[in-house]
Amino acid sequence: MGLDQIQTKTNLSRKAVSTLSGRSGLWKLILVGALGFGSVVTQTAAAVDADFAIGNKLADMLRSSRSVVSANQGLINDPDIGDKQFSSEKFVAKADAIYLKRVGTALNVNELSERDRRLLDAQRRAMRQVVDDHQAEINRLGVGFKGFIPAIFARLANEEFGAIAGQEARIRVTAPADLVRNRKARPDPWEKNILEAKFLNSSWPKGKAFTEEVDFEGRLAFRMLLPEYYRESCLACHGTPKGELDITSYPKEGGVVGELAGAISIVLFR
Amino acid sequence: MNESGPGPTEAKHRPRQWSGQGQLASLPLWARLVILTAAGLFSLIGSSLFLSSALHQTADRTTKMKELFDVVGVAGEAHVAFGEFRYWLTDLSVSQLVISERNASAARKKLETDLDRLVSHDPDTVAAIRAEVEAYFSKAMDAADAYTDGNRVIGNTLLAKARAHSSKVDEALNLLVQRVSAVANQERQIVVEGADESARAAFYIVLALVLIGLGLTFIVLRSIVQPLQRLNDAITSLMQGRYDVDIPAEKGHEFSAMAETLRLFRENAMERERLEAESEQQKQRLIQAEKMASLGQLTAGIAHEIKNPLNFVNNFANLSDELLKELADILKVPIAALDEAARDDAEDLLRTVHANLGKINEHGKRADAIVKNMLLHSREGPSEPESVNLNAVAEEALNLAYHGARAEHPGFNIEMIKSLESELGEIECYPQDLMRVFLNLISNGMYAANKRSEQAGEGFSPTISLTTRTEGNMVQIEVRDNGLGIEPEALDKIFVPFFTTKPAGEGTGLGLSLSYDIIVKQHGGELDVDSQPGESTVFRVTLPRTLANNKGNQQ
Repeated sequence: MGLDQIQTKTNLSRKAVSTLSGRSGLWKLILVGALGFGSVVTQTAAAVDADFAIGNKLADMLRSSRSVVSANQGLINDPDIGDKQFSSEKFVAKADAIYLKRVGTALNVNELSERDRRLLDAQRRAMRQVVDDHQAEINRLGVGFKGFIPAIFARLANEEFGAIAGQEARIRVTAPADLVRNRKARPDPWEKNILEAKFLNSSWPKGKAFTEEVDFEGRLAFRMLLPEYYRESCLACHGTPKGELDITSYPKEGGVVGELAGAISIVLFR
Repeated sequence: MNESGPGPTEAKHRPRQWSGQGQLASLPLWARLVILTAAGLFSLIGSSLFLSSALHQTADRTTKMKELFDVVGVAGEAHVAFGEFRYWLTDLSVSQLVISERNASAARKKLETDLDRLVSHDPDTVAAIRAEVEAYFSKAMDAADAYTDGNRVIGNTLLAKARAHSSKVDEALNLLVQRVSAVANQERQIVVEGADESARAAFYIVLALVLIGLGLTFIVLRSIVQPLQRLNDAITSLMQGRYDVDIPAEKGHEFSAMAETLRLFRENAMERERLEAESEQQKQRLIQAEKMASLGQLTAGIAHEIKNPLNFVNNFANLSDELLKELADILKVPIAALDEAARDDAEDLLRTVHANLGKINEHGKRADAIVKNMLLHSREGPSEPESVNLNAVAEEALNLAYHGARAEHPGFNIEMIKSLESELGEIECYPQDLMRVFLNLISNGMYAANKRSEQAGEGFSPTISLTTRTEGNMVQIEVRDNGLGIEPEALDKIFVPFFTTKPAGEGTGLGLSLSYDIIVKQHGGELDVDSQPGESTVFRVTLPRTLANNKGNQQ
């Protein structure tokens, strides 16, 4: 299978995925099949589905772990408690619990493909690593705000994930240019284009992800961008009044609940 | 005749004033006030023009100075902006925060704006700064990217390169600030000195104007107040009845008019006082005239009473002399028979008695003449015109006057010079009235000469001369005395009834008035007077030889 062919099929399937994302995989299969494409197409579509599924899982896991950091900010920033019993094992357990609550089904290792298992495991290791690496900070007495916030945690975990599984996949959080705080999170051209042309467009269905098979760092990759919206818990730092300094001394963006806050960008190399 | 006495003198000797004030004093009041106001306005306008010109100069300098300080300020702001710019770019390398990039970008924008404002002042420096800023930015961003990508060593290296450029920017901006500050400070020094000078000049100008204004106000006020004060003093004096006060000879329209009015007022007041005094005198003279009239009657009665015994004395003296002659004839033989001594005694007695009787007769006749004259003078009513020898009338008047004067003043003596034209002849006249005239004129002359004699003392010889002469078909009688003379002021009034210079009781003021009437109205003649005060007085009576209207007695 030559590169050109794949490129063409990818474009088609991207169209299909873009249109049908959020629906069940079965529907997609039926539709793609009904269109009468060849086995290559079917094979590619299957890969897309698989990528789409693991992408969602990785994203949901990231969100869940972030929620754990968010939910435990009071504990983490308590200057009077030394050993906060905030171990990586507990952390992952809490993240799993939130994942279950969020998605409805727990991650079942037996149902996962080899790759998916690898990736989820890598993510889990990365998260644990970050939490372990920050035990000293988390347990520091006499310091209130410690900067161990969901966004930082997520970036560090994603960077760690990259270090572990960077040849196979990447996870990062980005946002529209005016919302990005750390320049490491600046959107690349592809992300920027989708954020501005799709997600910021009022006609874009809320919560709908965008996927595409594109060239990334010279390799064919499945790219997936999942919009994230402000929730109440975000607004302490990103809410109103706009320009007021948040706890990290960064001016708030003036966001309101439901507004586009950013996106989780996932790359799955083929 | 010095009735008016020492008259008020005009104040001609005002203190000398400088000519400016003299000219000022001749201006009307409104003109003086206009001058004062105009001077004030002109000085105000002049000083305003000066000050506004000085202010303009200062303002120009200040503008230039301000522009320079603006440049310094902008350069300073540019430096601050660059500092911010550098801070945020450095911060970016450390924090990786996008906001640092944004802040750096904003700072650069501000820096560029400041540099834009500096371009016109020093384009070369600004271009150099811009180049260095761009180089710095480029390196600093490369460094930030390196840090972002986790290339710490490369980031450090790039940041060090960036620092080299930022130092150059610092240096250039510092130099620019120093250079422009120096020029601006020089300019400020000039402005400050200029302002000081202007302020000083303004102070002196204002001081001078104030002094000039005060001086001018003083002069103008004085030119108004002083004449007013003088006039006021004069008015006060006049109100108090002191008419000899100086009335200032003011110049200037209003004051000279006031002074002239005051002068007229004084003259009127003085004339009124004089008329009142004269009226009082006339009243006194009327009373005196009444007295004199009754005295005349009394005199006539006395003379008449004396005349009869005097006739007896004269007649019996004559008779006694004739009887003495008869007695001498009878005793001629018996006396011859007596011895020589007895004969001489008898003859001597006869001669002595004869002489005594002659003396009685002579003095009796004289007394008779006096009484006749008294009667003649006091007789009332008109007389008939007669042809008489005018010389005789004049001579008799001279004698009568002399005796009258002698009777009044026992020690009176006067040299009498008669120069009578023998061919004068007779003229037609009222002799008794003419006698009155001559008596008056001669009596007055003797009175005046006597007065002068009393004043001059010994060495002065009072003289009266009587001259008669023919003037064409007229005759002229001249009475001249070397008395006190008549003052010119009185000369016009001497023929006015009741006018007299003699003390009360010594004259009636009627003599010359009657004389004038008699000569001019009754006789159709002329009565002239000519007098040198303190030297002499001459009265000339010119009469026609015949009366124009024979029965024209108007007295």
